[in-house]
Amino acid sequence: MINKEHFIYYFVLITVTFVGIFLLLQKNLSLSTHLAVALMITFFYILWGILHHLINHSTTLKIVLEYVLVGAVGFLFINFLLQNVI
Amino acid sequence: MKDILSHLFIPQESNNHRAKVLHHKNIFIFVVAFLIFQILFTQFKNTYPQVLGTTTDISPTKLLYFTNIERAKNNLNPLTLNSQLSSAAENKAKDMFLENYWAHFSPTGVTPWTFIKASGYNYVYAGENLARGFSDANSIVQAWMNSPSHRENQLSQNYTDVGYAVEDGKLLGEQTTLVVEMFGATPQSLAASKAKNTNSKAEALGTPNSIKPITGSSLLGATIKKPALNSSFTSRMVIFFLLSFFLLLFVLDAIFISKRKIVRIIGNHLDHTLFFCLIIVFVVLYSSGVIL
Repeated sequence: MINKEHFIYYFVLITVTFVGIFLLLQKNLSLSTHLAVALMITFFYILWGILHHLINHSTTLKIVLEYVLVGAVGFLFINFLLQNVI
Repeated sequence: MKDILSHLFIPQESNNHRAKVLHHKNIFIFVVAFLIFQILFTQFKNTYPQVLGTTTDISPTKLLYFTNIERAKNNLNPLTLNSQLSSAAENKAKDMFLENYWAHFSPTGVTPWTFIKASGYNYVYAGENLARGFSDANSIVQAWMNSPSHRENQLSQNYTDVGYAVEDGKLLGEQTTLVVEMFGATPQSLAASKAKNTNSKAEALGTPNSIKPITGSSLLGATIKKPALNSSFTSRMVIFFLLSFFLLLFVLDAIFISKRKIVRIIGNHLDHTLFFCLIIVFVVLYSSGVIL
């Protein structure tokens, strides 16, 4: 069962990431702008994840590292697509 | 073998109740390996474009063919490929690469009409559509048809002639295929078009191969590249497969842990799942074609 606090957390996570993806799909932006947006999505994801654990008093260095690694994987995937897909 | 796979992908006691491939050390190894893969992929693409490259199939004749199909659907006379307008389009494309701009008007204030006048085409009506980053002629025409202002040009009764330039180059820091489409009508061609019997529209359409291309230096050649492996498609598939693989691991992990009621201090897998799901949306929808 997801409580109200978690619901707000996931709602914000989905909304912000979705807006980021929407910006990435805008065709009139340059590659550097797209990369900057991808980087912002990644940073938001990492910080929001850490914040979630801070609220639940479950933050550890291992958890911070996990969000950084998963964020890095996500960013690398987006970057690879931006560089190679037409 | 079964034990090894289970150890790698299923949370259990042997892997501290987390799929071995999801351990931080292994995700880090994946990040480094993927970075190396990306460098090699780019190097290979640049060195052997005939093996791994972008498949493009854009030619003036195909652009004209698909444009005239749309005009025929709207009961309009077909456009004729004109060498002077193609020359104007070629000069515009060269100017865009030289001055490095993506606009109808150059940074120094040169208008599309300047190129048309310079080509010797005596116009009463003229227009311009631009496109870059597409891989085939039909996608370009469809993108123009989906934009009201470009559609207006494509379907204007005021135009009788059209010219195209298709050129590869570096624009705004990106390697791209640039397409310039210039429309026009001279007093003579407009009068002739009005007098023309509309019943001949369908007959004049032909097929992409039946349209005779204009020969000579005034028409830029087509950009047709068919490498053994399409880098664009391959990249999309690689990322799609890897994202699906990670998503499957996160879901498996969540199912097994919740089933066994194991408490762990790790990141929230629902976060990771949502994050990767949204990236999959991007993988499916992303394309770089731009029109102006």
